[in-house]
Amino acid sequence: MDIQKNIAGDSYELLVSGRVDGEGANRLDEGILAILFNKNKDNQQDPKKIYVNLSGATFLCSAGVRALMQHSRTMKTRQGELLVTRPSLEAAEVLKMAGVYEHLVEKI
Amino acid sequence: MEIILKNRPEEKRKLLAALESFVCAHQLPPAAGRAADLALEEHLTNVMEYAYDDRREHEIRVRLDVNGAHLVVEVEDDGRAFDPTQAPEADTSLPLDQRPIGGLGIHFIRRCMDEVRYQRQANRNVLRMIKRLPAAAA
Repeated sequence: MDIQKNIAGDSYELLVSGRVDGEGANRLDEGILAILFNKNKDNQQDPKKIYVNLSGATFLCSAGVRALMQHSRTMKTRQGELLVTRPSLEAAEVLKMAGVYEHLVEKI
Repeated sequence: MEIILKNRPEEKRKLLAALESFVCAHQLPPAAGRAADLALEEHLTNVMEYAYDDRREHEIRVRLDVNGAHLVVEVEDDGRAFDPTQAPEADTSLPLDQRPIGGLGIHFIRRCMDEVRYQRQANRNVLRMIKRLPAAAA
């Protein structure tokens, strides 16, 4: 699994590609934590929006959904937002099965 | 097909390769392959993380079979007795901030497979997960 990070002011985008299995979920979790808590590194601003682009995710397991749910809550407590964008068919199926699609996926 | 895994997460890669070959050889629909992949990931994660009280190496046996109009996935481990079919249902209708963070793995297994059966046999857990195949694929 690969994660690419794009930053525009206080908006962060994580482009996730490949399998978000147990190991991938740990990396996704670390990627989001790095945004939440390493704000002084590279003069990053406090995140107001975190977009997790799952268009390239070929698989998503419960550990990945758990990371998204957990950090979505953290962002809410900070008056910010974490949203999933453009989920692949595989990721969308799993987000729907978990009952979080409507809550987490960006409405276009 | 039987695949024998050690109780280490990296062993799941070996299983993924075997599952892909199996799906291809039996010309199974992609949705059935995805369901088996997800159910195996969730169940094996639970077994590897919670089933063993020691740090020894254990064998987990995974069997894949197409039986008539069914894809049958069976996992056998020698961990402590645990029947996932008795786990409480996850309530996915609750608002996000009231949802427990865990418990989705077994929910996914129930949702993506059509039938899930558990047996304790000779001190081993055997979980049989069945996916109905569309007529053309059977």
